[in-house]
Amino acid sequence: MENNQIRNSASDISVFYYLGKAVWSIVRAFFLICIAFVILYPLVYMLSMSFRSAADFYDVTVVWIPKHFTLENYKKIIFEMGMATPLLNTVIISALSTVAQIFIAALTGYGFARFKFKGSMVLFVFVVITIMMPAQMINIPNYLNMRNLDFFGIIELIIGKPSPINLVNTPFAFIVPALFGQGFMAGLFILIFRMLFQGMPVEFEEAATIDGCGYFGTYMRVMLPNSKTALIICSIFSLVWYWSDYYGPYVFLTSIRTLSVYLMDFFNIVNQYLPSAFKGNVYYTIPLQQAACVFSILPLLVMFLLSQKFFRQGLERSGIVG
Amino acid sequence: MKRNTISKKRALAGWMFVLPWFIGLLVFFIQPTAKFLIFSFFDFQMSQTGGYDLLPLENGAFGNYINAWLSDSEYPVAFADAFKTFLYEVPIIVFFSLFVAILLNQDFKGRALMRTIFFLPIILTSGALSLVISRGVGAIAMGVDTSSSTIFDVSLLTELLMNSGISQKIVSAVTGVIASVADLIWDSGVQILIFLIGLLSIPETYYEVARVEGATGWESFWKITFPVICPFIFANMVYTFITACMGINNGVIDYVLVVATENFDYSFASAMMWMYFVAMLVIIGGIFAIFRKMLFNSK
Repeated sequence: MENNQIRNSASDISVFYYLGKAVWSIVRAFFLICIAFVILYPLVYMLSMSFRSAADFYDVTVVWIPKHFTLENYKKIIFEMGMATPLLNTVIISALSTVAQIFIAALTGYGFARFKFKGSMVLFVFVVITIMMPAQMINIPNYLNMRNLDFFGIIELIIGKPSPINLVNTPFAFIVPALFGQGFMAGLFILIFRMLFQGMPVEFEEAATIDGCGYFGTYMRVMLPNSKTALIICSIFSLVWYWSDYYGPYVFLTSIRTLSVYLMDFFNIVNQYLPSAFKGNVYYTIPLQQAACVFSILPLLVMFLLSQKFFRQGLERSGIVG
Repeated sequence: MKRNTISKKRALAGWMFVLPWFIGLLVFFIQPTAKFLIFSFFDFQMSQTGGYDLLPLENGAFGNYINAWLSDSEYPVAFADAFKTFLYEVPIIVFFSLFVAILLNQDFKGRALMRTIFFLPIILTSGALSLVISRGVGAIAMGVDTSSSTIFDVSLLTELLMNSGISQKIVSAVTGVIASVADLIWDSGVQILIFLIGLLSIPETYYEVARVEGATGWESFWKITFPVICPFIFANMVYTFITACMGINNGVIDYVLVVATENFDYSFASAMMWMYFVAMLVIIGGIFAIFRKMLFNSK
């Protein structure tokens, strides 16, 4: 009798449990699909516009799918309006800066996470301060700084005149600060890596130390491989931010044009290119502009789809399980 | 005695790990920031040769600071607005993104696809592209007001609702809510991913153990998820705070940049920036103090 009652209540609970689960999954799906729609809307709009010919643009019946599907816009921006060079510049600057930035940020984050030394608290406060200072504000003093790059006057002391190292108008204006942990949003990455390493079990390092690894060896052989997912996610962040930053290139580069600067200047460029009858005509410029937008993020989208594997497998529980 | 040498060795190793960053901090941050501070006490003039001159101000060294409050009409207003932004935008974005990240971390069909989609705002909202999108290319073509700040275009929806005979007031309320939710989604792209990094780092086995021991989902959230996610809440609050209050979309920053780059009054801009910066630093310090215990219980 008693046994039976227990069984009954158990099955009641499980009915509610499964019902609740089903309702929840419907609510969740609805919620996520709504958000996904908002996110995809501008992207779909861009794609749709970029494949349109001028005739489709005039046509009110064309809402999303172009009737005259054309690659003409892409051909124009790449081959006639010179969008290939900015792409190359952007790839060089953002890829090299990102590699330098993530390597140093992880190193610094590890230093803050695992070692206590005099002044580590004060320095960590400075990490937060560097995130806060808008790059735009110190860009002008930094510009003056980079024109004659010197480390506390050491170079001037040795050769007796202002340092001849000029980073302005070269990709090094971005790479060198990144190499010294002062790249775009470097502080945020240091913060993330610090938390990540702090959350990892100390046993890993102890095991490595017992096996005879030094501090740096432990870091390189144990800690870095175990934080692969975070390294990849942070690299993607960093790459995207360097890729789309337009304020830095405006200040530090005058003759090298990046994709973001190209996009900002697009209306001037397109007006130089269009025959005078079509100048300022939105029906010709908008499909071109949307094509330029799609083209400028296409490499990011591809890279991003390729990196999906890492999100899917999660952390693979990084040695904790196996 | 031996213990002492080991801790010394560890301290030295710690310094070695942060050394490259420390050099960079001095050269590329402290040095320009100090220059930037000095500018605010003078009248900064770019000279023809590419250098610059610092001329003394008419009303004392703090002239720029005083002028910002007394003779500038826009600065005090923008300054007050920034606090409003901080008080409601930051908590809403952080909670929303934590919620979405937890949803994305659950097991369901199409999770990989959803995660892919949720990564897109980072690509679409950063830098030049977001300006191109938000300045409303579509809006130019449709002849609608181009200054609208939302990426998600609600004009079509407005038209649809108006045509179906709903009163103007209700329509504008509904589209207002939709537009701000859309903005919220776009603003929390990075935060969602930062939370996701944290959630992914929790081994599945912890939850299994909790389930076997009879913990409900609610309990395992507070006992397992929350402690791990806490430092990430801090990181996200700092990040959200900085993008909301220190980004170019903020009223004060926008105004300061206009003064610096269009009026070329760099020293006045510098003075305004410093006052704002110190105020924001106090707020960050407050957040830091709250989360300090969780951040510094290192092993």
